[in-house]
Amino acid sequence: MTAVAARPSVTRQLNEAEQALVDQFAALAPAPMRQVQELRETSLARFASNGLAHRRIEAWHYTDLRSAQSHTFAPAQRPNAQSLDQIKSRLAALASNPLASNPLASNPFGSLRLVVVDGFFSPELSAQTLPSGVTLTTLSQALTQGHPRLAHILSGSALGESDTMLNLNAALCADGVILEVAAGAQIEPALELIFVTSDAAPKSVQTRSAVFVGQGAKIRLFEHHLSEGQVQSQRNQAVLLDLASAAHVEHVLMCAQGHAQSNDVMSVLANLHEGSELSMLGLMQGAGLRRRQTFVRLNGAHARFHARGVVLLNRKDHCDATFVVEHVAPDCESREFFNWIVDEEATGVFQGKVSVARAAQKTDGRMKSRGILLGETAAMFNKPELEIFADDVACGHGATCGELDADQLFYAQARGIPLPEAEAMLLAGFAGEIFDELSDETLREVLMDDVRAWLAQRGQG
Amino acid sequence: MLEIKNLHAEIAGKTIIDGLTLTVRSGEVAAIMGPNGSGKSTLSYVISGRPGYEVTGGEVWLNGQNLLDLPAHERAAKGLFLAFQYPLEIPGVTTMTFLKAALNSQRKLRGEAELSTPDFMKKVRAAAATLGVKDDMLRRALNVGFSGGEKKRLEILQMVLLEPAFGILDETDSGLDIDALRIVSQGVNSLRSKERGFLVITHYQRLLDHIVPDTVHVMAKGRIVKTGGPELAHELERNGYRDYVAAAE
Ligand SMILES: Nc1ncnc2c1ncn2[C@@H]1O[C@H](COP(=O)(O)OP(=O)(O)OP(=O)(O)O)[C@@H](O)[C@H]1O
Ligand SMILES: [Mg+2]
Repeated sequence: MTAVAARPSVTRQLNEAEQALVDQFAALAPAPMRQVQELRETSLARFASNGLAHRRIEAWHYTDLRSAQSHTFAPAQRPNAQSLDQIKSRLAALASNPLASNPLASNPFGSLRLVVVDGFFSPELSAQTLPSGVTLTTLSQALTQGHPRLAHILSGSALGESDTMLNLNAALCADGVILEVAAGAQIEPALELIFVTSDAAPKSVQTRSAVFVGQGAKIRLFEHHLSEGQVQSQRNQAVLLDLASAAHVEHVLMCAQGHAQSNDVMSVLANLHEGSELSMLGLMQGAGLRRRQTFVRLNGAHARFHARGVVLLNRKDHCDATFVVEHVAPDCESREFFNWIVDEEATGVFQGKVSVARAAQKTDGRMKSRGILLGETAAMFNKPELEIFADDVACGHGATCGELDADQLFYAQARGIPLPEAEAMLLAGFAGEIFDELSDETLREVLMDDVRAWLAQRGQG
Repeated sequence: MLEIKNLHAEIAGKTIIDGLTLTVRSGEVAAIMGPNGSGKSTLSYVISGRPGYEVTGGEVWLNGQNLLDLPAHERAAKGLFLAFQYPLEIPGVTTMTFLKAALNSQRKLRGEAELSTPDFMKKVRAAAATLGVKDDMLRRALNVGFSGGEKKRLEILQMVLLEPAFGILDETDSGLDIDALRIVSQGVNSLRSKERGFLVITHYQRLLDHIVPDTVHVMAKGRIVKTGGPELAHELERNGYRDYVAAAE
C-alpha cells in the first residue's frame, strides 16, 4: 500500500458539504478565552485544508466519508423541554421492543446515567446526584466560563492530531460531559454516558466529552449510543479518556444500529499513564457509515490497554473499527481482539496500527480480527500494521475471514438441529468467545441477549 | 431396521460408494471392517445426509422411512445417530448448551414437549456419570481442547442422551485408552435392545470383544464384499484384507 500523506492542499475547493461545516463555525459564538478561540480556529483551518475524511487519506482508505456526505445538515439545536419529554416517552416505548438494546428501559447495573441528546447534555434525563469523588461539568459551561482542562480537552492530549474529523470536532463541538474522578476514588456504580440522537429533524451533531480518572482511582464507564432510527443524522463525537497513574477503567461500549443513511464517526482519545489499565469491551452494530476510531497512547511503564469487541452488521451498513496504539513507555501491554459477523451487503473494516517507540522495550502487543461473512456480497477488510523501533518486543497480529464452517454446521444438523438454528448457535458462540473472560455475569448476559436478538431478527428476515 | 439397497454415491464426481447393499435388523449389531479409504466413513455420511455427498443411485430406509429424502436434522429426529470418526470442535458453545439444543430440537421435530432445564440437567448428569464425563467438560466449549478420547466419550454421551433408533459408530474405539474403551462399550451395550440397531465401524477386534456383533461385514471399494459372524473379524485380524480387496477389483 502506498502512503498518501494528508497534506494540506490550500488550493482545494471545499465542496458544498464541507463549506456548510465551515459556515457552521462562523455562526458559533466565539469562545471568551482567546487561547480557546485560537485553538478552535486552528482546528477549523486544518479541517478546511483536508475536508471531510476520504479514501486518499491513508487512514481512511476503506471509509470514504466525503462520498457518503454530499450535503451537510443544519447543526443540532439544544433540545427544548417539549422535545425532551418526547424523547423520554419514545425511549420508554423502546422497552416494548425486545430487539432494541435499551439502556433507558431497565437498568440492571444501577448505573449513574448522564444523557447527551443531540450533542447536548440533558440534566433532566440524567442522574441528579453523583457519588463523592466525581465532579461533573459540561463542555458548554467550560467553553463559556473557562475550565482548567479545556485546552487539554480540545487538543485531545495531542492524540489523533492529524485526523480531519477530530479537527472538525474540536472546532465545532458545543457541548458534552466532563467528568473528573478524584485520586484514589473507588466508584462502585458504573458511570454511564448515553448518547441519544433524537429523530426530530435531520441534523449534524458535534460533541466532545472527557473523563479524567485520578491517580489510583477506579471506575466502570459505560458508553451507550442510541439513535431513534427514523431520521438521518451526521454525528461526529469524541470522548477523551485520561488515566492518571495506576487508574483503572473498565469501559463498555454498546452501540445500537443507526439509520441506514446516517454517518457516525466516534473517536476515543485515551492517554494512559504509568501502571494504569483501560479495558474496553464493545458490542457494535452498524449504520449507513460508522467509524469508531480509538487512539491510545501508553505513556507510562506497565500500562495496559485491552480492547475486545463484537461487531454485527447487516443491510448495506459500513462499519469501521480503527485502533491507533502508540507504545512510548516500556513494559506495556496492548490487545485488540475483534470478532465480526457481516451479513447481507454490509462491509466491515478493521484497522489496527500499533507503533512501538525505541524506548518502549518489552512491549507486548497483540491484535486479532476474525470475520464471518454471511451475505454473498458481504465484505471485510482487515489492515493490521506494526511499526516497531524497539528491539525487545513481542508483537503479533492475525486476521481471518471466511464463511461459517460447513463441517461444524453438519455436525450440529446431524444431532437434530435445523440449519438456521445451527447457524445461530455457531454465530452466538463465535460472538460469545469475545465475552468469555467477563467475570460480570449480568453484563455478559446483557451483551449476549443483544447478540441473540440480532441473530433472531436475522432468522426472521 | 436399516436397509441400504444398491447405494451409489460420489464425492466431487468420484464414485466412492459403488453398489452397496446391507440390511441391519432391529436389535442387531453389525460391524463393518475394511481397509483405509474403502468408503466406510463416506457411507456413514451418506446415510446421515452430509452435504456434498451425491447419491447417484439406490435407497436407504430406516424403519420404513426413506432417509434420502430428508435433510440431516430430520434424519436425526427420525432416530438416526452418527458418532463421528472426527468429532467437530464448536468454539463458544458449551457442551451443555449444545446437548440441550440437540435434544429439544429433536423432541420438537417429533412433536414432543421440550425438556425443562432441571429435567434436562438430571438426564445429562446421569448419562455423564455412567460414562465418566466430568462436570467441567459439560461447561466447556464442545470438544474444544478435549483429548481424542474425551471427544469419543462425548459422542457416546450424546448417543445415550438422544436414545436413537439406530446408531452408527465410526471408529469410536480410536483414541480410547483401555479403561475408556470398556466404559464406552458399556455405554453402547446399555443401549442395546430389541428395537435398536447399530452399525459399528472399526479396524480392531478389541472393540468387538466388548461390543459383540451379530454380523461382520467386509467393505472394499465401496461395496460389501463378505458377510459373516463374529468369527470373520478374527479371521481378518489374522489374514488382513488382501484376498477381499483383490476379489473386489
Ligand atoms: N471430500 C472428499 N473429496 C474427495 N475425496 C474424498 C473426500 N472425502 C473422502 N474422499 C475419498 O473417499 C475415499 C473413502 O474415504 P472414507 O473416509 O470414506 O474411507 P474410510 O473407509 O472411512 O477410511 P478410514 O478407515 O481411513 O477411516 C477415500 O479415497 C478418500 O480419499
Ligand atoms: Mg473412516
